[in-house]
Amino acid sequence: MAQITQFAMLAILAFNLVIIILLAFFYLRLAKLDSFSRGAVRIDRKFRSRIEKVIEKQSSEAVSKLVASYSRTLEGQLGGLFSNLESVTTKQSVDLANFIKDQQAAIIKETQLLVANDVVKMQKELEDYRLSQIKNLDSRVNQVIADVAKRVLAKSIDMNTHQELVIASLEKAKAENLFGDGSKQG
Amino acid sequence: MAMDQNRAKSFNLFLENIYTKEQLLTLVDQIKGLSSLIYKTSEGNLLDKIASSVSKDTFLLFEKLSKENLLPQNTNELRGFFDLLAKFLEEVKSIRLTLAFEPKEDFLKKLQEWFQNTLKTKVVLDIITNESVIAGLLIEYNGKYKDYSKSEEVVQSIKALK
Repeated sequence: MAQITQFAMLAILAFNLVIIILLAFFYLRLAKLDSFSRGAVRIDRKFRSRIEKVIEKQSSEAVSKLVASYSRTLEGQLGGLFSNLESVTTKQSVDLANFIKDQQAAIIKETQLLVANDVVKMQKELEDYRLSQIKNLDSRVNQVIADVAKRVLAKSIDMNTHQELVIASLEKAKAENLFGDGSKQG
Repeated sequence: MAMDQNRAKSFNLFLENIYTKEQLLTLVDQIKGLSSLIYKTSEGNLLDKIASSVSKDTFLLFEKLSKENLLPQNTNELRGFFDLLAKFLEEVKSIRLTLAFEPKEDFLKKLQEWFQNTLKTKVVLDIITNESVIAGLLIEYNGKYKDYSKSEEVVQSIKALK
């Protein structure tokens, strides 16, 4: 029994040992696999980095070429446009200068005409004013003379003459039928 | 009819010494004053009342009418008499004369007679004095106007001298 037990124990120990060895083996295998896996990832990174560099380089070259080509085209077009713009501007400047010159001439001519007309008009107005003032003065002088003459004459006529002249005037009015049809017969 | 004739005669008496419109208007004012006076004082002689309110000439006329019994005695009739007299006087035509001198009464009388003979009706003279007329006159009558003065002749002579 003791032998059996010893055997069993030995068997168990052996089994355990085998298990341990197996476990150790698997562990080692796994450690190896892990190491391999890490190596593969590193390789992948390197590869990818290289590809990126290549692509970057090629892209950069293509873009540079494209930009250079576009720049050349743009420069050409801009050159044409600037040239056009310059000629149009030059033409317009000349036109504008001519227009201003014409306008200046027209304004000067018109102003001269207006000034001449104004001078003539002012001369006429001054002459009219002078004549009107002389006429007014004449009229006032006449009025004063007439007023004075009337007063002097009215006073210088004697009463009898005044009365005779009034009666004579009334007779004249009667003859002219101022008092109606009946008065003419009287 | 006889009463109307008497009244007309009485009324015409008042115009005998009236030559100008100014005199006529003064007389009309006096008559209108009498018309209201007779009701204010009930006592006393009517002629006494009149004497204090009218001119001497007008009073003498009323005295004459009273003596000839041409003045009504009844207050209401007297009021009617005064009213009719005032109306009669207001209806007298006037003629405006502008003269160069102030006419004396004798000349006014002469003028009035001239117009009465010419127009066959009594008129009063509305006299305006203006030396500018020089001589002759300006006449305004019945809406008509005529210049018979020497004013324009003088003005033309002065202009011709220049």
